[in-house]
Amino acid sequence: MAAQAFYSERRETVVRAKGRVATDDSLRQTRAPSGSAGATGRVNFEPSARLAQQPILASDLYVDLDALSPALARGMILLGQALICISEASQAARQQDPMTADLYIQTLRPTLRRLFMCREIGDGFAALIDALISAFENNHGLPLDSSHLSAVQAALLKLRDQPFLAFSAAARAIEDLERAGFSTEPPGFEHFADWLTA
Amino acid sequence: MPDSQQNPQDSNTSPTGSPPKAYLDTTVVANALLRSDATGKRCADAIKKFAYSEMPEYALKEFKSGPLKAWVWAHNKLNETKSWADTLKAVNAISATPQRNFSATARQGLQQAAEADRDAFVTALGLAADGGTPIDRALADRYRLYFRRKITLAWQRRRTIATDISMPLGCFIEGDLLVLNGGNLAFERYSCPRNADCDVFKLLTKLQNDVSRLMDVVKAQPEKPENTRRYQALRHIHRTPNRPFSDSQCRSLGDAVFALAAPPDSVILTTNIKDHAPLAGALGKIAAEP
Repeated sequence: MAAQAFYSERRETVVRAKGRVATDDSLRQTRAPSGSAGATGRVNFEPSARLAQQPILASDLYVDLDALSPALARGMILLGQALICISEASQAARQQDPMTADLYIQTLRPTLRRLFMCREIGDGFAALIDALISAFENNHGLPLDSSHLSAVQAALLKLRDQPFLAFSAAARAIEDLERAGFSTEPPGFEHFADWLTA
Repeated sequence: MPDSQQNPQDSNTSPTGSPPKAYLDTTVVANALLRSDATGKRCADAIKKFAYSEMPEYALKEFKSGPLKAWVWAHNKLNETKSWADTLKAVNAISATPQRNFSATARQGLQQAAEADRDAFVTALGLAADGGTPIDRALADRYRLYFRRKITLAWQRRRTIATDISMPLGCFIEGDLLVLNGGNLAFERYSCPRNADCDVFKLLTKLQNDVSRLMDVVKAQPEKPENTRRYQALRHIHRTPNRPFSDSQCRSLGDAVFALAAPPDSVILTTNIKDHAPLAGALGKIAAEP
């Protein structure tokens, strides 16, 4: 259901055939599409000049979940769920309803851990999810303000659009999270750091 | 408060009367580049408070062969074992040596935090018991990814931390951080090439009076291997300035290099004030904590 909701907003999007997607050196298994091939795509009639100006989003490319690697298919479904959570939380926060916003965040947190189990998608994907998990851990359950929510949403959207993002791109996205006030250090890391930096 | 521990931002602390410059010691560089916790922020903020900061290349050399190498080791151990539990065992084995003592309290703190993280995974995934190997591997990957990010960024930013880089060392090869096929991080080398002509040695042989003064100070310090090695390296410079000086001797100089090379109107910024203060003080210079 969540996956349907996730993809329904992209149903009108044209599948573009030109361009490149940022990739990491990660597993990108593919399986032969089941059922009628090409049934989920649409032919693009846009002039090629316009194509060059627009980035290709992963959600444009990976429409047929059955054709994807299991990790990527699951990752895209979970990302859809995560985006719904953060979107609802943001809306509740805008309506001055912090309790409802926090309830959605409580739902989001275990989803992020499930997303981490899809980390074979790539190290960039894994690093950004890892940072989000730590960001919430280090926030110690405090309600998020609008800038926090926006930062989390931006990170999740980045992953939805570029699941194979390079590690360096993930590092930049994590810095955006840190600029929003999150600490992305894993739990207890300061003990490790003390020992290793001595 | 002794002179050598004055507030580093106090504009009146410079012996020459001019506003002080920060002269960055390796500990401050390492903390500011690698750590995001309170210690790292304190160091980074302290550097930013100075209008001018200077880092000798010797700090980069020490950073690479010391803290950065240790962080790369931890990253590669997580990548090699793909197990949080096995990595902790390796950490425990290494930390049994006096040079790398990992206190029981700190180890316990790290283990407790990881256990809480494991529980959160088990709950989120609806698993039985402790989640077994997949969760052990997930924990290892969480730390590995963080290490990789911090190491990569620290190496990328090493030359942006200070306003200026001084004391260029022709013998020191910075090199590129490599990501090997299996995911390990590596440098071609962590030390200077064998038989390289040591530029630190060349510089310090010109400062014989100061070297002699530091020898007296180091000799008076508590007996420990680090001080013994430092004294021997200083004595080599003083007594046999025409004989070759090895990379290992260069690294043994450690804090003495900062005391000798810091400009008189600078404040040596260090988290290791205990060792730096007497050395800097002997040469009329100032060392301060961030």
